[in-house]
Amino acid sequence: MTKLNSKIPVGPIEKQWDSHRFNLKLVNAANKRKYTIVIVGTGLAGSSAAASLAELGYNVLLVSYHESPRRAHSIAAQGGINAPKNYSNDGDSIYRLFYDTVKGGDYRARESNVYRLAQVSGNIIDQCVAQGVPFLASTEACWTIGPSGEHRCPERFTHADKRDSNCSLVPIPHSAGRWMRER
Amino acid sequence: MDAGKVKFFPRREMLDLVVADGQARGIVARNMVTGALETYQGHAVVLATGGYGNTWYLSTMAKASNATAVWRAYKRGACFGNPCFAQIHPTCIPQSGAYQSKLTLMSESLRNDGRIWVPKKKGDTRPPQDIPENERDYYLERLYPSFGNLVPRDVASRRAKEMCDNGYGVGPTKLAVYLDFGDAIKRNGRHWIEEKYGNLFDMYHEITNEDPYRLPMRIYPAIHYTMGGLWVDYNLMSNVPGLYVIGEANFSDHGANRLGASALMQGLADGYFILPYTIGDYLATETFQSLKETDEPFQRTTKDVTERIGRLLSVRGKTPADDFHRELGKVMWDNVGMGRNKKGLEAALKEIPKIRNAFWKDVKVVGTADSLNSELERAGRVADFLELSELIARDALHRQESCGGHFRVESQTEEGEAKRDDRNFTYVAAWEYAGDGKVPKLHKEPLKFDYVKPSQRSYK
Amino acid sequence: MNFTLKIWRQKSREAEGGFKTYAVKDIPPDASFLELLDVLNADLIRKGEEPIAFDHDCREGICGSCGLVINGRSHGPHKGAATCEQRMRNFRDGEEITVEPWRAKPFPILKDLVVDRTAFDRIMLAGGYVSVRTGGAPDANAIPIPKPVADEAMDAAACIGCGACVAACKNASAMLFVAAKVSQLALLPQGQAERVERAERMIAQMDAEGFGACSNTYACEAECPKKISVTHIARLNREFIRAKLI
Repeated sequence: MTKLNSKIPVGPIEKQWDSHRFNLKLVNAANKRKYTIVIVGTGLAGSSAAASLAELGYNVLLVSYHESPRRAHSIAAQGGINAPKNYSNDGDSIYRLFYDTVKGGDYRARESNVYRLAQVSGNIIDQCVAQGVPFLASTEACWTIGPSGEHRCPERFTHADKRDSNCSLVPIPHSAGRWMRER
Repeated sequence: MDAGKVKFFPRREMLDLVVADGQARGIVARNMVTGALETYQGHAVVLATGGYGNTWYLSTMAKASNATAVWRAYKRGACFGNPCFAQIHPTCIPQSGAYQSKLTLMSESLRNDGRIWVPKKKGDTRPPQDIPENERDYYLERLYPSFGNLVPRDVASRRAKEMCDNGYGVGPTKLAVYLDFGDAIKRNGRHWIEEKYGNLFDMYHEITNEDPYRLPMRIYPAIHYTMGGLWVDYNLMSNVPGLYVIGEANFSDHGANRLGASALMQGLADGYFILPYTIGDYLATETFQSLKETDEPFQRTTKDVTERIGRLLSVRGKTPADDFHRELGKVMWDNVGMGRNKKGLEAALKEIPKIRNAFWKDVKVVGTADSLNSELERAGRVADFLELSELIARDALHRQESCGGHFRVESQTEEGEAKRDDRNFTYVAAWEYAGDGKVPKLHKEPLKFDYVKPSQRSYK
Repeated sequence: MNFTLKIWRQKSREAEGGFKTYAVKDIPPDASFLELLDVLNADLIRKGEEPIAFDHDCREGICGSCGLVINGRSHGPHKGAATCEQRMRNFRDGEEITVEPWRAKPFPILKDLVVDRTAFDRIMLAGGYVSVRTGGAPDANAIPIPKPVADEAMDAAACIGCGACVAACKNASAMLFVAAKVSQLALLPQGQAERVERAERMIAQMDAEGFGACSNTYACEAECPKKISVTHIARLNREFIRAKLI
């Protein structure tokens, strides 16, 4: 008999992910190489997972119907990536992004998941940039935050491209490449 | 020390999930060049296989994008969450003919500077430049003075459909509205637009043969993203132990409507910052029996896949798989699209099994299983769309409320906005496979809102 | 519109290939080149013949999957467009069109018009990334990058890895591809730490894959669907010399 348990942590929402992570059991660093994880798909989700899991020491088998990881369709995404960076001092915050996403989803998503998503979103932009993703640059030598009316905070988007339709996210699927090289 | 930790296997399509002792332990995949079936074993399986928008045939998804991986996992016991939640993006280039294989998205950002309008007069056939300002209805600005052209995707899409349904549509098919940059060009100059949107304008010009610097663009909504997907817990694990689902393939974060720029955010959050923590907990706490490719679970699953491929090749009918897919797409778009009602959904639930039966009687798959065979790949995917579509329609029928991208005509406010029924539907609908020909079992995961109190979404 | 198509057919990597001629009728001018092949394939399937195998996916010029030599041109006659973005209105009604796969030794033909471009991925594995750990990345705006530099990196990042540059080159050189990839990371501060070995290793892998030498004919730039400039090749050469000097 299937019983679904969402395993949502208890406690105040701002603390849930931290306390949950603290409570998660860890695989001993030396034992990680004994585990193999099969990942299907090399879009942004699959590639980022492959790179991160390999970095932790797991063995990853990465399977795709494409001939190259970079052909996955998430590369074609035009919109950008949300992050409440508040670069433009417009009062954006994790809580606002959380609020907008729950409301935008018409109250049919889990609050805890959405809050966590908003929490880690700032790191995503940093990680992408560190990997060589060229986001749209404004004249101030900063990455531009573009506007979007759907969000309450008018300047939240970080666009991946000045022409808004391009492949600048390609460094992400290739980031797993570092872990693919044979000795 | 980093060398060789990831082994990449290109041109392999996952065709089944291997479950052993109740744990997800690997997959069966077809080598798309040699046709050989291969097994991949591990201690956990992660599906990052994207959404199922191609169920509707025409969408902005890539052509090969399909639901086979998640659907096969569903049939091995993983619950499917909110399958009816699909996003219809308002700014796509309209369909121009029956030959068309896919739709192209024009970025959301265009709505920052473009103004959406239709003629005030029904069936107005004048070219847009001949329609004077006072005979244009900038309907989003009229209906939503504070958000105007920037209302969320679900609202913008539904209003465009409504305008066209009521006879105000433009262009040769009358299934389009104008997205006009005239004012923006006047205000900021052509150069400014070129810098900002040059690529998109070129793309539009190439596809439609019309110059959007001179004439307004024509746009129409199209399927773009699916919020539904395999059900996962807070750790991103499905109800099958060891089966993780990340990115668009899971149902988790977008509710009934995804906001712009949230898809990459979620895919990368799952892959970089969530899964690497949570999967460790599973590996550290579970015990694993040692398994070989020759052991029963892998052998049995491989046999199932072989039989299924054999079935596809042995129909030897007359009709290409794509024809069935187009037919399914039409049923889905007409009945399980932007405006859904009981009658239409019930009709879809009758039509889909008919198309499926016709497929298994009459599909023609040329070529053999032991070589590169794109028709065989396609037929397998279409067969799965023909099953998943029924679950989508069933879920849409059961959810007798409107929310986000799921608009039930029966449930709307006086102003024609989506009207939720929080008392009866504040839950995730997770469907469990019960066997072919049987009604799947519905599990309800109640949703609680302690921080963001549900209210009628208003973008006035 | 009606067309006569002369298409390369080849059963497998080992099999011998040859041209076959097909007639297609009533194609709408707005159809893309791949949709023309869709129509032909549907006809072939109905007749019980094997459809023409060709790679394709996004059909909006981003994924880099499609790539056909059309009338001797990589991706076809219309400049700055991938095969999927070629529209039939740019051809003459009644025209005979020759369709071939990429022809280059490092891209073996798998079937009909499908070639194996994994050589590109092996070049990327040799150094086409920034070795940064997940977590702990500095704030995205912590390192200011002047706009012209960021824009140029963006231009290089436009490469879709389709292989048109190789197919267009009489020597089957992969210089434009490698140059775009090296250039993108060499321009950005994030790419500096591995800059020297990246250029060396990627060029070594390119040579090992059997791609030819660059003889500066600029055919690659002319046929690139993303209009990547050969100035990136000049930068690659500088990067290589720099690597040798350091």
